[in-house]
Amino acid sequence: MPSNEHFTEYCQQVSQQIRWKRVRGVVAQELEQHLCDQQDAYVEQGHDADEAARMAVAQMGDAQMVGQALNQTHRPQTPWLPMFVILVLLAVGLVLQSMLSPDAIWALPYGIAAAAFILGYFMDTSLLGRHAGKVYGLVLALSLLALFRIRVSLHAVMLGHSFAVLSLPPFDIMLGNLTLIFPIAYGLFVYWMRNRGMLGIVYCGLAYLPFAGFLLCIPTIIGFLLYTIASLVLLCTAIWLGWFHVRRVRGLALALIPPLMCCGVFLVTLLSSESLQFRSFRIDLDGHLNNQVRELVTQAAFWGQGGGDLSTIPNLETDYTLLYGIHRFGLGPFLALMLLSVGLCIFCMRRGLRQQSMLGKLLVVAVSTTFVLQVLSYGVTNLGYALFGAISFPFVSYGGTALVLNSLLMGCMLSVFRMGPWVRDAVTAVQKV
Amino acid sequence: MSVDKSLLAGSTTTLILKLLEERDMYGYEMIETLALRSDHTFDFKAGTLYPILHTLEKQGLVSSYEQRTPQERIRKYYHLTESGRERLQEKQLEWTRFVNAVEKILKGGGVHAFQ
Repeated sequence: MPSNEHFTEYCQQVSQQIRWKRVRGVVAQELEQHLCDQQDAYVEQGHDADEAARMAVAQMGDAQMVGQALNQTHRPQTPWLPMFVILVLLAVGLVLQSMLSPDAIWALPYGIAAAAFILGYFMDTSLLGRHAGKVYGLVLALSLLALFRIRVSLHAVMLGHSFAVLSLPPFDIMLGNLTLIFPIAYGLFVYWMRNRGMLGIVYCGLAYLPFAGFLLCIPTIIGFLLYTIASLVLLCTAIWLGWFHVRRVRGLALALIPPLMCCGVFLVTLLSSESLQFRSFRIDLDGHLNNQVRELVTQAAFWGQGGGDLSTIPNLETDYTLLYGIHRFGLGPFLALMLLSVGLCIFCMRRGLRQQSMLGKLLVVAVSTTFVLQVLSYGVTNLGYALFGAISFPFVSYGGTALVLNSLLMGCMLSVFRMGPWVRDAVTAVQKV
Repeated sequence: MSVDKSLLAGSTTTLILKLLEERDMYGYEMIETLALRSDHTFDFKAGTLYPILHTLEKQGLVSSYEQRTPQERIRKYYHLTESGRERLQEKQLEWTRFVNAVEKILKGGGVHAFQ
């Protein structure tokens, strides 16, 4: 029997004792490597290869015992607390939606969202790391493809919405909501470029531009801002943690250039353009809607039904769900909901930064940042201080695309927690902690 | 002379953390280093080492990363984390107290509880 077959057989016997199949490959690879090292040592001592292999296996110890000991260590960790908070948010959303428009609740988006969450949760996130560049390219290609297939909803324009809609019957996908997956795609690009010094940062700067351009074409101002902030946070985190092996100040200065340039171009376009798309941003520049919202908030009770009339507020289900909640249940529950959501993000971010793999850290930072920016922008909008509107309040406000994408993202993030230290970074020859 | 394994049981973690305090190592390297430094008093079976290493990793006391060797093998290196360093200091203090206490008893003489 050739020596590597001894090793494969031994490693299989050990792996079979581990119930969590996801880690079997990682464990087997490490043990096989050890066996090879041990075999080399025995060969150097003068044994022939086959005998050395048998001795190496014997030195390893009983396969059953080793496998059982490893099985005790390798158990997936279910992140109960974040799951519980997500369920609470979902329940709050369902209650508010059922009160706002009971006939409009459609089970299909919730079913797809559940499937997306499960897909993300049970996905091997290490795969994303191994194909980081391809995932970025795929998201970009699909987005650009979608851009050529959109139709404009004039109704949405009149209501001041981002209005690019991709029709895939029976679904209408709001392209502005694709903003939610851009940070994670960009984060994967940053991960791909790690260890490449200043040139890597330059490439990351260039990789930021297509998505930013896409969001300005749709256009969605809040989406552009959310993506810009999230991508900056991701790149700065990577530079700060030394993944590019450059001096921090230089790296951070370089990272700021593309977003600042993009923001400059955007502001000039916003203020000068008379195009249909950009006019939609300025629909409430006189602050009429914001004034109405603030008026309603001041009439709200801290607990219980408040005063005022909500009938003049457009899109309660999608854009002003929390305002309805404030009006119906008071400011207290609103504050509690905001605290719960922001608390979830802080919890996830802290836990994410303790992850040992760079991939795990980046995924958690990408999802948490996207989540918290949605929560804050939505909260501010619903208090009457919106400049640019909001995308959604994850799991609470109505919106199929946002619900599905948020579920997928949350599933991915919780998958990182579930895997714990077994989220593996792709191997490089020069990689160091 | 072989050593009773039960004496070793409680201190394996300390030995591994101590090795990693000096530099990052892979499993085989740890076993060889321990054997050499202890004049083969501590000849670990590899199958004993890996469950311990993986438990330490899960507890966040060590982290790991993979590197490709010139022979195109993928080798998993372990690295002592900050909390691992703190745990090592605690364990070393604990060990020193334990050894001192055992030595005092083994020397014999001294005080008796009921004289």
